[in-house]
Amino acid sequence: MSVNWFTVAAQIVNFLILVWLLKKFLYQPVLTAMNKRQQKIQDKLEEAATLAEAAEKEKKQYLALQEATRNRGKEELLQARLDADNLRKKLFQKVEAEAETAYVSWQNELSDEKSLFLKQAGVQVAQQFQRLAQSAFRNLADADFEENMISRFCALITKHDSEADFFRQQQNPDKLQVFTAFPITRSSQDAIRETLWRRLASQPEICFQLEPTLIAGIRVSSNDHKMEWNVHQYINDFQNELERFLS
Amino acid sequence: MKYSPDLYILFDWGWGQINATLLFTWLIIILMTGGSWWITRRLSCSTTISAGQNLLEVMVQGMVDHIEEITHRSAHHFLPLVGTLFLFILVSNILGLVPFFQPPTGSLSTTCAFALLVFVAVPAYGLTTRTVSNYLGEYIRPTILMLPFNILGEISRTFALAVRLYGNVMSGTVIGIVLLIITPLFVPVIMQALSLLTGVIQAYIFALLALVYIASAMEVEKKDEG
Repeated sequence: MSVNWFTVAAQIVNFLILVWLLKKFLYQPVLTAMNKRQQKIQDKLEEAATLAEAAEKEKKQYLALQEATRNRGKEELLQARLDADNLRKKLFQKVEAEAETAYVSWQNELSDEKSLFLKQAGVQVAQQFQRLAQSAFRNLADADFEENMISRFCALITKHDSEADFFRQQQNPDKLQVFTAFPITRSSQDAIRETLWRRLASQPEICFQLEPTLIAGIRVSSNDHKMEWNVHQYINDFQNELERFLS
Repeated sequence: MKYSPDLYILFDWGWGQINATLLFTWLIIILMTGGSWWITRRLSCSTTISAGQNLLEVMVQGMVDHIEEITHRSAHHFLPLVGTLFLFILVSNILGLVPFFQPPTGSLSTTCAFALLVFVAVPAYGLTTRTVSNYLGEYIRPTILMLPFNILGEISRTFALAVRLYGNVMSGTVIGIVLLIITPLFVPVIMQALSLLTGVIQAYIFALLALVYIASAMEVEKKDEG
């Protein structure tokens, strides 16, 4: 075991050369490459951080926009509900008004129909009554209903003063019109004419006309005045009774 | 049987000799430099690198981390010296497994040269952070009576550094040769494996101790500054 000092010196030089060579060909290139890569990674990380920051910013903006949209949606929904409520109220009022109008119209139509019905019913009843009376008189009493009515009419004009107003208003009339619901005979016409002349104490012209709307009865008219002897009052009573029954 | 490669003389000029130690040292230098140049000639800075570059980066980064862990300083000033010490001793010891290869670390001249380098490097690194008086003052602290002991300590640790490495490598080589003579089969293989492990450990220990000595020489300055 001995030390060769020439070898020691040579090894020192060799080692220092190796240090220089490795520094040039190993440490510096490797460390430079590593530093560059680290820098590159650092740049990428910074870029990623920047992107993440931008993404976070965009996220916040998006969330704010979403919140604003949600709030606007709520406001619009509230407004839409208010509008719908107002529209519903308006439509309801309109429908109510239309229903009221329709109800009033229907009530009027019903009233008209009721009046028409009562009128037609009264006429029908009177006509039936007339026919019934005619048949009854003819079959049961061998009498004529119309003739009896005319006789009774003439008797009432003569005996009673119930029609005094009519005759009091007639100051020598020129013409009187006698309407009957049924055709009357010549003798009946003469009887009526004689009775009226006698009652008026004058002899105006008397015309006889057929008036089916009278149903059963006689009407005497002069100018604006008239006198009736028919079943009109009975029909009115019947119509009132029927109307009370229907309502 | 020659125990040291110094004994294999190739050229002799009287004032100097070219022996196997120098020859194999040059061989290792060429091998390491050539290998480094071959791998680092096309280094990639991307995240995808070759296996060779990866191996070099792992090795260099490992040394850097280790140095910074021990010295608590940037490794760039220490890496060329300490890293080259480690790599040279490591490669030399590993190549000792190759038949007919005489590891230069099995030469006391080589280990002495390395020890002397460390001996010079310690004050050199220490004086980069401290004044001369401050550095030399360490030898007379706490009292001037400690001066001879401190000088002796410096010399002895340098001597120990050289002898430890030489002894381990040389003994491994000698034991291998002896075992090869006594039991040529199997046993020498096991011993060679152990020799490889010893070589790696010795490389690590030498570099580590050198680093500790240098770091301790600089560490005092930090305390003074604190």
